[in-house]
Amino acid sequence: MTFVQPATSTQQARRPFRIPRGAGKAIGGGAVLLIIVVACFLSPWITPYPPNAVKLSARLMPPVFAGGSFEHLLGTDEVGRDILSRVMMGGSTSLSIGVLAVVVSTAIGSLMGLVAGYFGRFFDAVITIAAEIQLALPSMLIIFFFLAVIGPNIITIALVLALSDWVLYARMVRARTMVERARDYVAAAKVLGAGHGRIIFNHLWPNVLPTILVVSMISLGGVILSESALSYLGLGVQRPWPSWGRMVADGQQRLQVAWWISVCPAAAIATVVFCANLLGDGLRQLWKVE
Amino acid sequence: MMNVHLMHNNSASNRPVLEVANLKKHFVIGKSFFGGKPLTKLKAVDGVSFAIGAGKTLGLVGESGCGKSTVGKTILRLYNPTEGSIRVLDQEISALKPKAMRDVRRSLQMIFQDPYASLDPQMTVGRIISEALEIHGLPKGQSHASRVKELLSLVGLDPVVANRRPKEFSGGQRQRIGIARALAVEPKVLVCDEPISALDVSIQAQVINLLQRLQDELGLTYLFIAHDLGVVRHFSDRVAVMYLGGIVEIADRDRLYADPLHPYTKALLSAIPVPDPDVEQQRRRILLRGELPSPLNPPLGCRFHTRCPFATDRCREEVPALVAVAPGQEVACHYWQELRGVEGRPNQSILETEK
Repeated sequence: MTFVQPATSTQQARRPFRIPRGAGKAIGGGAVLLIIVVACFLSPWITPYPPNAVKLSARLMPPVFAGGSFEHLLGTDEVGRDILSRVMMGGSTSLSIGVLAVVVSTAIGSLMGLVAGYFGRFFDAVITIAAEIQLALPSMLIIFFFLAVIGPNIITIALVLALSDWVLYARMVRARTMVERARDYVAAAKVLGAGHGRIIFNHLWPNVLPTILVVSMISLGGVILSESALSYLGLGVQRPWPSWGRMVADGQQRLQVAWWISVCPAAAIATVVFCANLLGDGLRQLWKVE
Repeated sequence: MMNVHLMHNNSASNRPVLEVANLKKHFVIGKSFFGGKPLTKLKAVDGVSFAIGAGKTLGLVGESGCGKSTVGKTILRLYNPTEGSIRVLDQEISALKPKAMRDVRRSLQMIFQDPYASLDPQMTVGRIISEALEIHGLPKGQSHASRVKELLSLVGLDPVVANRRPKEFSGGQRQRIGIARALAVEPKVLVCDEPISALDVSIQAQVINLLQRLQDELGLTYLFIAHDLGVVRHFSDRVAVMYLGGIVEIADRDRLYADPLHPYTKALLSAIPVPDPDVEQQRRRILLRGELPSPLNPPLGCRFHTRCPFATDRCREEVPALVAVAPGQEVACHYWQELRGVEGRPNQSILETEK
């Protein structure tokens, strides 16, 4: 018996190597994001100073590039706390909330979307109506309400932010699932006798996963911004533990004399949001997700 | 449960393995939001009957949109039949619950038309094939891998490809993977839904030969859905011709190709090109006017009357039944006797006697 050879890899190797579209964005965004994440989550061990350590002899020192010293790279605040240490520490709070919120909303949203898209009919109607209602309500108002009632901490803030974001995933996943459901590989699985669970989790989920990852990267930026907004309004993580939004809020009173207190955490927020969007957009091009 | 069926089948090998009687599949188009009466029905399959004996092949032909694929998918219960019976190995399956149907699927499998859509792009070839083994609780672990290798070499693929993904393969190779997946549960009956029409002509022959070899080696029974009459002639023992949801003629292969009785069959056969310019110029062809009517609103009387060059008033009013006209040949036409041997343009005398 002669075997039919699979498409040979040598043929592909002969073509000149081209960087796939989107790879640059994905790698660039991902790398910067990774550095920031590592720096923030290792902050209990690697910050130059304890983030809440007061040093009255070194108050309101400017950052090194604005005439300060290398002792405090990003300067100090009005009671002499090191800004760099606080930005790193605050980052671990802000990023935890962001990631947790994205994971929770992704899980809820994609499960809803898969169920609605796969079963259609009743489930689809119920989930779609729930999503419409959610969209019709002012989400910030709901978030304020919940946080005022339950009280803000990392977990509640993340859950409340996730609550307002699941609709985004549910709609996207539902649309993708309806496309995938009609394809022959799903029919083939049914012919083999696969049950609904197997079709949803073994076939549909892996095929909508690229879409979910792209959307979650892009919404990670949005969630971190929302968390900052909440902290800025005083509904975020409570003092003295820093988060980026709270640091921006705290620094604004001294913006004229010590702009770096606000600008450094704000720049950190902007960088993370930008990199997450860049990564999401790069992945979208790389995986050819619509 | 399976063993009972197999034994039964062996003891009476002349019993059909797959038997379909008066199968109907109507799709409801546009249902009112509040339930209530369905607005329109699309009669994709409207009363199809046939039987296939063990180890035989029935070719099911017809033009696009005639419902032949729907017949295949309804037999596999991808659609629930509106009416009629489906018997596989003497078991009625048309109303089985999904759980009971799962056991039937071990003896009834399908090969899909489009090998680019029918393999999950996120799974490796090995997982695609071993999923069948998992679902049916066949021996786990190491034996899965060796069974996958066995199946891959059975369909003529190198077993080392098991950890690659479908996108690395050509259409013909993918179709072989699809066949290996279908064979994993050791089925008796395979519904082949246009298994070669998405492939290059040069690859088609390879896949056809593979299907034939597998039939010889494994004693498979095929329902072979196709629109290529040449391939069907090469491949089938019996041939059924479908038009607009119904079978218009069913006959043993040689009979049908030598002596087609239904005007639609004649038209289809006369459309096969002959690879000889002299013959091609001489022969007369039946050219059909118009398009396939919409199955949403099928013509009254004989479904074919709107395009039949021989149609009369009787055809417009009375539905012709599928009647046995010779051993192994059934035709649904009021005038099959008068039309016997008629080719090309309508014979004037037939029309005159009717008027």
